[in-house]
Amino acid sequence: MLIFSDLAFLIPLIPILAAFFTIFFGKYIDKKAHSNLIALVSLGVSFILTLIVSGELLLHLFLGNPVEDVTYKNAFEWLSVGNIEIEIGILVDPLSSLVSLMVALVAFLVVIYSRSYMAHEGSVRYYAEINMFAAAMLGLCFSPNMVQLFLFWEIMGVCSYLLIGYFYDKETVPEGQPHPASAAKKAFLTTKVGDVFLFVGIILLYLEAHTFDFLEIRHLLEEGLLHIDPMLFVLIAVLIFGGAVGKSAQFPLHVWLPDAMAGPTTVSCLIHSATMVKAGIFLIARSYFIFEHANEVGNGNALLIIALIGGFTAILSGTIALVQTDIKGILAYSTISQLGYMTVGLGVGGMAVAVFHIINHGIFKALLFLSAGSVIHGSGTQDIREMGGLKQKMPDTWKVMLIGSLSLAGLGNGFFSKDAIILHALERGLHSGFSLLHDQLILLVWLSTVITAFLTAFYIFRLWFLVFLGSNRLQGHHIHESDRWMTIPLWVLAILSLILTAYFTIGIFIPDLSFEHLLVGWLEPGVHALPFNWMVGLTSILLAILGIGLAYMLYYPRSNAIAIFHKGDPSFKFEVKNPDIITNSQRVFRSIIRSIKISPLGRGLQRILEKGYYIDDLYLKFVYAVDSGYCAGMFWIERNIFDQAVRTVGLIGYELCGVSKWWDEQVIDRIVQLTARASVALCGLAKQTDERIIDHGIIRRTARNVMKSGTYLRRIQTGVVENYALYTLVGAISIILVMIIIAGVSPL
Amino acid sequence: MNIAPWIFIVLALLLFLVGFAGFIKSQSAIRMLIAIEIMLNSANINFAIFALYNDTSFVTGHVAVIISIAIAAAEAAVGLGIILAINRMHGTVEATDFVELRG
Amino acid sequence: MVTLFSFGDLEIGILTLIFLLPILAAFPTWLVGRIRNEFSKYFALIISGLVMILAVFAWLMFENSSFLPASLHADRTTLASGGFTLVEEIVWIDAVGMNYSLGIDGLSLPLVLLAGFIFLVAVLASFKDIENRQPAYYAMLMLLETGVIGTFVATDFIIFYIAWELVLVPMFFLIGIWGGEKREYAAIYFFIYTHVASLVMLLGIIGIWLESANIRGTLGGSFSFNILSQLDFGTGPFILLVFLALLFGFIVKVPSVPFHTWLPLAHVEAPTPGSMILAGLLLKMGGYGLLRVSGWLLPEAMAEFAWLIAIIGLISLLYGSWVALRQVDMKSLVAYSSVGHMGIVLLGVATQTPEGFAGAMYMQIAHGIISPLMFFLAGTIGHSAHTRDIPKLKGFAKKMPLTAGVLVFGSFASAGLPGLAGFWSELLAFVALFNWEGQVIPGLNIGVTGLFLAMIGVLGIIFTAAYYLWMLQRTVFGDVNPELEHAHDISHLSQYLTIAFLCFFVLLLGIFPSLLLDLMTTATNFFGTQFI
Repeated sequence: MLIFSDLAFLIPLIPILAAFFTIFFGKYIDKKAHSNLIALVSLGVSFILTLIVSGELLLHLFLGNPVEDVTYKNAFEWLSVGNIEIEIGILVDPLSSLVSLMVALVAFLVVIYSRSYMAHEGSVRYYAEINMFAAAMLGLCFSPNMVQLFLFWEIMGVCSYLLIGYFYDKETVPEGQPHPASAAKKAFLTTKVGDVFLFVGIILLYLEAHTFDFLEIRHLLEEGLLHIDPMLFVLIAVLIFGGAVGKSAQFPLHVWLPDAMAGPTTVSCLIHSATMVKAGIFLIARSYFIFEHANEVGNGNALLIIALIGGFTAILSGTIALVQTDIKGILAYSTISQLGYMTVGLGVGGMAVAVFHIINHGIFKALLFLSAGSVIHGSGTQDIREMGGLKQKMPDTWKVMLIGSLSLAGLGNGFFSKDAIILHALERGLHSGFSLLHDQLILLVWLSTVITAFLTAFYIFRLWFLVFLGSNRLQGHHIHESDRWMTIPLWVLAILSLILTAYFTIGIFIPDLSFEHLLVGWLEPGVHALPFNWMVGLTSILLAILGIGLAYMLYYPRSNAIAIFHKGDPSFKFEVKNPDIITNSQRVFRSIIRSIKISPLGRGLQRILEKGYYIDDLYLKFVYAVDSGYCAGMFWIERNIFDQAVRTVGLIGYELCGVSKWWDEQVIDRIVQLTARASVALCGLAKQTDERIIDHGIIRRTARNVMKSGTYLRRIQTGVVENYALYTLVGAISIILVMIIIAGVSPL
Repeated sequence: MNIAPWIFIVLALLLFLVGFAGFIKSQSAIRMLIAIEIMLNSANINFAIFALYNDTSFVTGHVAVIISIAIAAAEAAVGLGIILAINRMHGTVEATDFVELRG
Repeated sequence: MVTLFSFGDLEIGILTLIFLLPILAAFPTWLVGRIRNEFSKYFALIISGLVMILAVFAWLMFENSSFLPASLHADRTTLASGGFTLVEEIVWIDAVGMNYSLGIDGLSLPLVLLAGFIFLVAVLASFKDIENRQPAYYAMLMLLETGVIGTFVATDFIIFYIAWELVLVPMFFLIGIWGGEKREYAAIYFFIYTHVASLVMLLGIIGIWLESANIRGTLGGSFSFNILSQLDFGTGPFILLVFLALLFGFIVKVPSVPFHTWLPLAHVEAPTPGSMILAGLLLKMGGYGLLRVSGWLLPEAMAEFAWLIAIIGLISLLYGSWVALRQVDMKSLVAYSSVGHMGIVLLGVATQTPEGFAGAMYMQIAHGIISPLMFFLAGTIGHSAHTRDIPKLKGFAKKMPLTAGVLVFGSFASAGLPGLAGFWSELLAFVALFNWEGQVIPGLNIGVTGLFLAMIGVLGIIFTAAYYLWMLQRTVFGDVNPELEHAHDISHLSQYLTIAFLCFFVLLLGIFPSLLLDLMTTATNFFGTQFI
């Protein structure tokens, strides 16, 4: 039924090959842009192929074909040992095609954008890694089994490591920012902790199900053929979720994502919107049947854990984002917060809403990050306190950033998925069918999502107001709008965001066209989508407007106002030259907030938020303790116990050798010497015998006789030819005679 | 042709003794060379006779004679050459003058 | 058997050729080196290349490849029951059951291929590295190759032991003459330590002969693997003692905590190609012996001590990575990583399943390719930068971009990145370990379960990643250390080739694991049947 699905093999393969090609031959091609061309072509082709594959599948779905008919799997045996059989191949289904479509689009746009953004700092290495990074995510989307997914999952981790550490040779970094090399290490190791959970989860699941294949596990679960101990099943689910916690930067392991901004902005964009952090959510969506099942057998605990972590992460990072001053830092914490939303979505409402938010978030976060890159490119700084008034200088960027900010705040395409998650949380909290405590905890999660919605609107517009409005606070830098290579991808994303908003809005009024309903039908057949709830929807719109309003009151500087910053001063101070242009209400409001902020409690709170609740420091202390305490102790043991033991044994052996040396010298040696002397005496005797008897007697006499016979015989040698002829004749005759006498041969 | 073969053998023997005596008694190297030729010819006669009286179809003896003659010619040429060289070096061809091989 | 050549009654098979060619070439190598120094290295290269080709040929024969005429196909019928193929047997001292017998199976063939490959690469790597006394050096390498290959192809305990001991001598000289500053100390340390272990192993070998003589009665004792593997030794106290003696010999060679102290010292002091061979092949001899003894000869005794092997493996895995985290010398870091990785071999063996066997075997080969790569890089960096101290190498990527790139690649391969060779062994070993029901430690009444061991063991993966990444952060990245002004990147063809060969196989085995796993299918399955 599906014609083009086998093309899905090429979607990750082309960028992988392009990555290798770039490493080896990149320096000869498109030198001016560091072989950007290869990446453009490979990811472009990949995007077109994704369009074809996914488009065909989605068309079938739109036409009403059932999901089973359009799920296509094609796999070959990869290895088989004992009972283990692992396949490699592709799985094309609604989930993989939707996510891969978003990924391929964002990756392609990022490469276009990089052509200008990385014109100076780019290199062949950069494009090879970008290719590999995108390929890993695309391969992950199409993976039909856990092992292949894990493979791409780890490759993605390595690519993120390399890309975050791209500016590895930076000498100094601005205060408060991590060094790229250490940020990269942190990212890889933090996610590795999650990966190990996933690794264990995969193995434990395999040992129960005896297969790695998603479809087969799903089949087994649906048919009820798998009998797993409920506790173990919940453990497996939590372990797999542990992988997602690491990759998608959820609460205990979220610390790497803010540091990941040390990489180029384009890389941050990919990490935050398309590839890295989405992989975790995608993994849970892909294996959602496991979670559902674990939830059923485990009294709702499996999904409750997920929802709690998601809700906690959302509000935690939402609050931290309030006080960040780095433009990428704010966006990074907002990503963690939005990922928290997705996790909540997975925990309370099923994966369709989470996937819905993956796609929406992918688009508006890519938009926001790329515009932030444009701002950094244009203004030369990342600190929003130093920006301001960029609206006049950057006519394209401010518009697209406004669209992105509105979407994030909950007034654009982001609204629809976020609202669906909030609605699901409320629904689940009110009628879950599990215990009362479970319901109360879910309601707590709901509360956290609602508060976070407000916080999100506030912090993103704090950023927007400070960056684009007012007058410029950065002297001496030539601010310019970015060129076409950068603005076109921005506009593509902005327009896409607007189109989606319009389409989703229609869906509210005509439920048959509602994208959420379609998604639920495709991804979770048999589940009925919740209809749009005006009460919840209006609440979140109201909260978003409230947040924007608060940001306006606090951070909207009139064009003549000059903002002043002091190190250590907890808040902004606007010095207004002309008092008329700031409204009275704004002034009063601001002074109230300021008085709160400079109070000891306010300062303390600010400090805690700036430090990210000291989670980072805590981890650092722990790691330091492990390294310099535990590992150093082990090294001490190595040096002083194991090595020493061997040496001591050696020493004892050496001392024993000393004893035997004494024995040798004093006893054995003496005996040997005595023997030797006796032998020497004997030898003297033998020598005499030799000289007197053998030498003189026998050997010399023989020689003399030989000499004597020689003098006689030499007389025959006359030198006259005739004599020789005569000898010959005599010889011949004597031979004949001998023959006659001895052999009896007659000559005739 | 009923001549007894021993006549030819005696002839060859005589010829050989003549050659041998010539070889031993003559002083000149040229004469010695000639004597060698005579001895060779006596051997050739032997070959021919035995070939004739043994088997008429057995031509090996004749062939040996021809080869021997050819070798004799070559040997004479070489021998003359050596004698010429000796003559050029010492101004004489008397065999008794060369006793350098004496032990 | 398949005869390649015959001299009268003497029939020479391919294994004898592989086994004896290097030792026969050792003296000529030295001799041609006396004419001109360069000749010896080219001669050694040719010989090791020839051995590699012969090993590949043996592989084709083993596989009954269609490239070869049917007359050259090996007899695979005995493989499934734990026998050998391409067997060559010459009666030597029949009275004590001692024969010159060689053979290969799914367990030894991959190691023979690995040995041929690593020696070829090591000779290449020596081109730039070794400058003094070249003729003797290459002759030593050839001698070493015979010892290593002999250990893998021998099917008689005496040949096995002779080859095992033969390895020590050239290695002693390689470390002692061409090594670093403390080379003499290191050479003697290495020699005595491993020699003592070999002697204990010899006691075990004699013990197994005595026991076989006991069982076979009038037939007398035997050293032949073939005969011994058919005997049922049971789990009497004597045979357990024998097993422990053999185990001691092997885990010193592997090496495992707490018998590992010779390894870092020998690695740090050995010349770079020596380190490559040490890590790539000498450690594998221990793993091979362990697999052979536990799977083929004494499975019941091994099953009794599985808990011990598992715990030693686990401790090695964790301990190796903890200590590696604190290392300053890059070579010594890689050396401790070897201790950790070889722990996985022990864990795989302890599970007594085909999967565990395959994981252990895969680790042997994967580590046998990755660790030479890492040692080559560490050696090259040390050669060029005149230091291997990690803090002093800060930012050397600026000066040596290619080396730095390959170092990153090698580190990830060693840390078990999926898609590279190291991953599959970890996956298979851990699947087997999680599945192992465990064992009660006799006398202590404490049980170890596979789940428990594996849960601790996976921490090793994190630590492995941690020490490599920390090393990379302190060396490759950052601002360049001014002391490295004179450092230069690799430039010689032999160095490019070394890196290219090793990296290629790391990738190949990572992407196509079945290439190796299919080769060992018969051995894997047989290993599994031994423990049911």
